[in-house]
Amino acid sequence: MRVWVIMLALGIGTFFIRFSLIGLLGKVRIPQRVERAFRFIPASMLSALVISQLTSYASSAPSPLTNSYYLAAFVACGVAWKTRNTLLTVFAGMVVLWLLRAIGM
Amino acid sequence: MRGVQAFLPLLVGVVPFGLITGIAVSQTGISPNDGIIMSLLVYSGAALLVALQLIQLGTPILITILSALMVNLRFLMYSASLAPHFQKLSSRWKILLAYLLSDQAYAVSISYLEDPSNQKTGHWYFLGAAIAMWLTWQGSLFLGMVVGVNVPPGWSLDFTVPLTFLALAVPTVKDKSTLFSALVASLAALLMNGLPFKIGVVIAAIIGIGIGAMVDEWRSS
Repeated sequence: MRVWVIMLALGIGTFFIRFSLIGLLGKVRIPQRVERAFRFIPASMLSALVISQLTSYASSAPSPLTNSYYLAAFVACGVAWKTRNTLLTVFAGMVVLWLLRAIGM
Repeated sequence: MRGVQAFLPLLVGVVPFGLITGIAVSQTGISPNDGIIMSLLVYSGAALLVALQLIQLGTPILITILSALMVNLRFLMYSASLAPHFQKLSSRWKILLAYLLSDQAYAVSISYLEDPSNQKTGHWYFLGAAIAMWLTWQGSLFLGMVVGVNVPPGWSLDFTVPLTFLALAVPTVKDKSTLFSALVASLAALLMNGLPFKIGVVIAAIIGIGIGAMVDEWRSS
């Protein structure tokens, strides 16, 4: 139930973000300052999310350097930087994770 | 139809991304049927994933909604940029095109829309690209969810969730300022990780955005 309340609110909210300025007949302009701040939303929000998600994998190893999840994420980060390809990034991360598991990490 | 055609090259990127997101969604314990209804409602993979993740962690409703909507704030920019081109359309058209607005639909149509000679056909072009994207997305997402629920837990497919976000986050770093804001947000998220209900994520993001904008302003002045 809770989940659906959230989804409904999210659906309505997302629609109105998309509709906002199209609906306002293009009369309203976003101030330049706000527009510039907008540029930083994806990078900040997504990085904060990644870090917070990765910390939930912390307990599986005594040291961060021997945590197979962290090593896999590190490699995936490099792949993402080089290729900017989602599929390749996720694939590389998973393969590294499975390989580290196979050698007993 | 030309809009559909313009979208076709993007299939190569959208299908795998839809599949991966679908797999990630299935790892949050959502059935493919519920998942597709959610996706029809929200029509944003990143927002859907953020919300499902936070729900799983027991985050309060308001913070969950706020975090997920923040991921979608970029649509405000697209909406602003498209508004003058859709100005003369009926409300029905506007509602339809707004619902279908996606990164991909925007990317393939904006240069067509900005050409004054396409004034009369622009919205059809956008509609074609947007519907093609919508169908591709929902289809590949559903397929991903079906695959995801049928994979044994030993494969640790749950790890595709942070990896997907990582794959989304890295390309958003486009220059020194965005890199700086991403690093600040990451560090802040790490420091505030102990705060309850993952509220640290939202605060960290706001800090990152604020510092990024400040550095940007300072460098350009």
